[in-house]
Amino acid sequence: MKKLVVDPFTRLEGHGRIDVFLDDDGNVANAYLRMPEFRGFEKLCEGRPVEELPRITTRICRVCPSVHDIASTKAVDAVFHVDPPPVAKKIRELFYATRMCHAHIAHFCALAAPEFVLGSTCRVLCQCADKSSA
Amino acid sequence: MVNVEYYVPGCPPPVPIISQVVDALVAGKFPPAGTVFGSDKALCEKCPRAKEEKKIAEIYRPHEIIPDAGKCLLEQGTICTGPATRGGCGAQCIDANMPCRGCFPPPPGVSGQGAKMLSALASLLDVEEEAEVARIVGEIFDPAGTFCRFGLPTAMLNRKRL
Repeated sequence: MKKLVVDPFTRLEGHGRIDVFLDDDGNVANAYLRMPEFRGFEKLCEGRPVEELPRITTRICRVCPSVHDIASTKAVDAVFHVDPPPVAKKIRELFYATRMCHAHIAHFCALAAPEFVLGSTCRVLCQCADKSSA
Repeated sequence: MVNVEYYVPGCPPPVPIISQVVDALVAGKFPPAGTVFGSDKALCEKCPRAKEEKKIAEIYRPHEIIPDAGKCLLEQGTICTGPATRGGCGAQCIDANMPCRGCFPPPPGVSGQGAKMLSALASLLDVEEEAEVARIVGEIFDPAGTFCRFGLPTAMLNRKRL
């Protein structure tokens, strides 16, 4: 069995590691994605006003704040046992669509483009990778 | 300890502030060390809402009230941290009829954002009786998280600075 390790994997906000296990034929037998970071957001949300939660959880990640906003807003809906009116749902959908544009721009310009433009062997990028894995 | 050269305030920092910083760095025009990008005045100073020196008897959470868009949010009983927060953010929250949450640092000379906000709020309360003060204060849900929302690590509350 062969094992492939990508550590750290870049092009995302935070730290990640992928372990891929290959069988004797070279096919993927198993794969693990690990996010070893502990942020503590679950803990720091305790005891806070419920209307604050979508605004706290958006701080989890500035590449993808909108998804945390939507997820948290849905959780708050559930707390109040409410089903938002159609207009509100459409506004959320629009907001979610704009996040697609924002996330692609953020991902390309801030995370992926440096490697495409400067190359994966760029000294500065390698140093960054070393630091983030340290 | 690492000395902080420049503060880029906001959570997140507004785009105009970021471009101001990038412009300064690209042009090689470095401001003095310790500069906070943003206004030197409290957010209230430039707030277009009308202040009527009105006292408040009730505190409302944002979902409990639809505030009058032309009037001071604090005087309508929502906790707007404008008096204890530096301006320069573009007041997007205020424009959307939501109270300021204090994501910018306090104005120069104010060491405790939470303490400053508490004193601003206390001066607005329309009460004489101690029991009434306790009732209104009791209405503030999660006071530490509200007054020191972004500045708890350096708040006077935990005696980091006195």
